[in-house]
Amino acid sequence: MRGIERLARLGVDVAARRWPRDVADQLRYEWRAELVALRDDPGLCRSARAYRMIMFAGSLAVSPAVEAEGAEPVDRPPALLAPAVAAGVLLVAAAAFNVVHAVGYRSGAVAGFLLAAALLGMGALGYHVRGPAVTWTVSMGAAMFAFLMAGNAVAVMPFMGWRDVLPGVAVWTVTTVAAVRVARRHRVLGVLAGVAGLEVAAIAGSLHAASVVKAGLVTAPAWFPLALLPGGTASFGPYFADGRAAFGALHGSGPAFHASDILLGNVSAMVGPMLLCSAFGLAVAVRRAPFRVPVPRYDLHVPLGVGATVAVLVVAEWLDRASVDIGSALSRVVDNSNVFGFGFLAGMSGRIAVALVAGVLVGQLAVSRRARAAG
Amino acid sequence: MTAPAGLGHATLYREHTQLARWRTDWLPAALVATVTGYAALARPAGSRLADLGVYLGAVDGLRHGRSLYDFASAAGAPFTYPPFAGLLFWPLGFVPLPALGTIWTAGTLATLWWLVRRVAPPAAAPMVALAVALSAPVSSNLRFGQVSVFLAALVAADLLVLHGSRAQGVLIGLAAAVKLTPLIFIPMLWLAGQRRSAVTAAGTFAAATALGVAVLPADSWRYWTTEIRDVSRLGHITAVGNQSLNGALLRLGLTAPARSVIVFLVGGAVAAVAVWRAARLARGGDRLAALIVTGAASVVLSPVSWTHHQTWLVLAVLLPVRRDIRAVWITTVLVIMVLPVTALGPPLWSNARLLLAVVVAACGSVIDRRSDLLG
Repeated sequence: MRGIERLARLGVDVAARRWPRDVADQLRYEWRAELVALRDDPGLCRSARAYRMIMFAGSLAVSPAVEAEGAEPVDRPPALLAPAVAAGVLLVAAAAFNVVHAVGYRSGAVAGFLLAAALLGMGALGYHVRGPAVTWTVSMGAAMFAFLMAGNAVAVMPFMGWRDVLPGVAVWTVTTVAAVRVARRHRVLGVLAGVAGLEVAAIAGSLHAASVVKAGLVTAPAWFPLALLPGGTASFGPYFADGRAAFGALHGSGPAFHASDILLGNVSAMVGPMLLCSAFGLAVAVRRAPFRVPVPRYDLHVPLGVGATVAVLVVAEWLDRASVDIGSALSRVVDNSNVFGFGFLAGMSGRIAVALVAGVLVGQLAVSRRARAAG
Repeated sequence: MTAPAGLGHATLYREHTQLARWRTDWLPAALVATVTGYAALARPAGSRLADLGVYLGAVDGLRHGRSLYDFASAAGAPFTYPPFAGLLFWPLGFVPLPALGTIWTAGTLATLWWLVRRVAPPAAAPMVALAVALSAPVSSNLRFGQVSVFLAALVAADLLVLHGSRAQGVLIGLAAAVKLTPLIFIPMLWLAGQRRSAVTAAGTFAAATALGVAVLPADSWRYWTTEIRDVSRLGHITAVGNQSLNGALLRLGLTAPARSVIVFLVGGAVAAVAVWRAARLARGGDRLAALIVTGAASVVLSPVSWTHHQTWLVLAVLLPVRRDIRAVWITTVLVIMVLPVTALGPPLWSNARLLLAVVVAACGSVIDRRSDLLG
């Protein structure tokens, strides 16, 4: 029981720290007194007492603080806010970039227009959200690594192992954090730094691929811009006339291609979502006047959470039905029409897990907004 | 103990607690219900909503001049309900199958939500909903597209919502006309002193059955003279999914005469005790406990009690159990009804839900009417 009590006290201490200092000590005192009352409740058995104490402390520990009317909000974002934003922004960015490239396969002009629209959209989203840009950028980097590693199980990109993803994502995270810091004071410099970061990240994430397909490093500065364009815009490296290849995880055949087609198709899977995430992070950083999203009048966290879950399940079903086999994967890599991998949605357990995470995170965001409104 | 300046302690605590509830309120249950419903709908076509497929197949045969009881699904499952059920299911054939599956699943979930809101105290309702959504009976209901949840809700609405009204008994009579097991609630109503409701229920059952005879005379003759006694039509009734007393005796390898005697004597005694106790509970105003106890008796006494028939046993977490064993009771019920314990093997685990039903139905010492609920 002593261990349980210590754990419960730790929970209420954590909860009390969220409150303004003048209130926190009082609340800590009262909550500890409540724990003592629960511990000594003669009407409960030992296990029930422990359960009640843990539940009491746990519910307080995971709750946001509530301010009195007119008081300044306690400016501490909920614990899961950063991962929620990161996962959400990344998935939106990846889906948007996949759409851009799927269209770019048919019409380069339309793809360019859509890419510009996606950039503006992500920028506008970031501009209208209030939050810690650096923390969110780091979280997006972590989410990017996880989703790229997990997603490629089915989406079949030839070079998407840790030797490709880790350096690319690590460089993007470090350079984008630096760009975000710069952008707070100098918008233009920050944006330029962000673009430079993407350029370096594209190279870092493609060095392994370039060495395998024997694409010369002299072309490296062009990899990032070319990866955003439809496949076949520029060609370099060895030519595979019979369309057969065995690169990394990919063993398939398709139309005749250059090594550059494989290299650029692969790198686009990484840098496309990175580009849109950079737009979001930089926009969060450059916004000067805080924009207040209207607080919903009603508590909508359950319908919003369920809606997010259903949306993920619907998208997963759609992707599952639109999935390609290994034989046609090479063609889609070559023409850049198949980019960010959503392979983690292929299995029932994976898509249910992602759907549940999405629902919890969206519900959490709605709760945090309502919690602020309660102040 | 003074309240912090400007903040009423009671208000503070209440708000904080309320926020804590938001985090653990309906969102987890809603998300679990959503993904469970999705998992049911995403099953391969051959095994998706198999029982709903049987209803539709039988009704389709009826429309083409065949008997309800000539139908057998691809897996060999026949239509096993009275002809009135066939009449009730008739309109389902006019709805496109994908839409019907979605509507049926959503309707089942909505019915469960209503049921939990109706039977659980507000503070505990979200956790009860989560337990219900995770439970084996609900998952089985959704997987098979079963009608059992609707029937349980009809019975609950009759006892809890229509109590004291002239219409009480109508819904129990209708439910019994679709599936015979709710007939056990009629003697409970009679013994509880609600004789008018018992007569209404019996009259409604008789009227619905007569309607079935009038519209489908040949099928009615066949059902009431032959099919009703042929329990082998109900599937592999020796499987652990059948948690009736008869099912347990079948698994023990007893001969038909021995089983009949034991079911008549032991099952009859358990049911008699349960109905008597439930009547006392209902007379004392605890109609929810009466509902659950009688429902548990139906699980014991019915020749076949598939997993989807056992919704009553999940609701046993709501029984007003003595304070000193409340935590153990709730844990036990949840372990038995949520986890696949019947797969752990004979003799105890494979009959765990039957044992729970017997305890709920006949062990009065477990229930203490003087204690309040979740107090």
